[in-house]
Amino acid sequence: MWVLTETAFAKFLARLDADPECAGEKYEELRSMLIKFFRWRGASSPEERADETFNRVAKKIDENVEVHDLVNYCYGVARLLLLETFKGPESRLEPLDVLPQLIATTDETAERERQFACFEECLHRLPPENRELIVQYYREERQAKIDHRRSLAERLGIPLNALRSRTMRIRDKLEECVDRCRRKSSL
Amino acid sequence: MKKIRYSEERLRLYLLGELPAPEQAALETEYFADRELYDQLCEAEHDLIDDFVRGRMPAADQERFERHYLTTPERRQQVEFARAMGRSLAQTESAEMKTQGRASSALTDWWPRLLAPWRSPQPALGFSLVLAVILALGGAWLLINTLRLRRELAAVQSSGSTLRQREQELERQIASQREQRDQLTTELERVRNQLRIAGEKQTDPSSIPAVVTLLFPARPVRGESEQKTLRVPPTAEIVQIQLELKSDGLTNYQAIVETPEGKSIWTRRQVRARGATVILNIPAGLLPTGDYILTLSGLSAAGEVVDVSNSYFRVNKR
Repeated sequence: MWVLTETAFAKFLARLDADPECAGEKYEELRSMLIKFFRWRGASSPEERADETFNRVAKKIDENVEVHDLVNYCYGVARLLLLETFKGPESRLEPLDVLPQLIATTDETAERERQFACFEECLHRLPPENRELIVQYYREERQAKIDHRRSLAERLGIPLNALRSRTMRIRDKLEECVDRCRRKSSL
Repeated sequence: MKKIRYSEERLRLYLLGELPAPEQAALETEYFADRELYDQLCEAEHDLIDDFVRGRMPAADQERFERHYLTTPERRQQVEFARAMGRSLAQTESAEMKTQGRASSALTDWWPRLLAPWRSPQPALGFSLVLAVILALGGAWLLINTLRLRRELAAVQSSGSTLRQREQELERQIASQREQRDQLTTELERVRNQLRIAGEKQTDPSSIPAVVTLLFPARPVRGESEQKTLRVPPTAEIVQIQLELKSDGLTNYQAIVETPEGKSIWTRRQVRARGATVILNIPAGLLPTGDYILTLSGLSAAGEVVDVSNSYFRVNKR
């Protein structure tokens, strides 16, 4: 069985970008995209599948297979991996209503409280301007939400898509922080 | 490459797994290449989850969301995160409103002092003035309430309009799918007729239908499989798939073509190998652009069904 070596990984990163620092950033961005792709398509363990995608692509590069568009190639491999997933025994995803009915147990309520406490903690750890941005960005609903976000972008002097990108990164960091906090507090 | 703009509604359909397969693949190809579209899709997911946890979804959409989205632990965790965030933001808003409320109550303390000069030697005048103030306040309250009700009415009308639009869109989709089904049925019949005629005639190059061929070489059942892409021109009538077999002692074969989601597209039983190759002729009209899985199984001399191969291929109709 082929194992990802340091050399093979370095070759893969070099294909992303000649500059190691830029290559690292692009690797993380591409990994996030692949994780989201697997999650949006309903595959379980999206992080493992993203890593498996990279393993397969790195193997091809190591074997000197010609790859013109690396990002598109990664997507193609990810799609193939997804097809294999759907043919496997775990392909049957259970919608929530066929799982055993759970009464809100004390554990579940305690878990929600823990999640909330972690969120508050992580929110307060954010730099003040990021905290304020998140609070402002997720206010309002429907058309008011869209108008509010537009006026927020104007106030900050940045395009709407730049504002969206910025708040998403903050939200992603919040999610990671809450996840770490939750795991720590459940030990 | 021309940028396609996607509405929030189409992105939500993608997130709920309800976009047709060709459009799904096109969207994915595009967001891997376009960071802005990827960010837009991420935000659509956040908004979808936020609407669910804050009870802003119509009941029918809630059911769709629960059925299609809450199917993996990672997604359920995302919903819990959004729930915590919603609760935190609601508390922040409530705290802000309380602060504003304290500021406005300081304003209402003015009233007794303001009215004091009027409580006096001329009670009738004082009474008239108080009555005038009460009427003015009552009028203002009526005005505010009217404006609020108008806003709510506009919101309800807008929501009704959105539902009507959604209904119309669904009806259009149903009509389009019926039309497509009818066209495929007609196409299939035509191809069958042509095959029959071709079989009856002498070999004549001009009577052979346009055929596109895909070859899968022999390989073991287990192991890494590679997906092949087949470009099918619009004039093609038959997609011929040739599967090379290892010597396996099997007689009859059965072939099934299905989508990754398990929908069966085409089945053939009692297929006999020609030498070491199984040849399958599939009407091109049954294979629109998308991903497919071809499962070949065989019948042993003892009468047991044996899996032979799973082959993955993508049809690209240009």
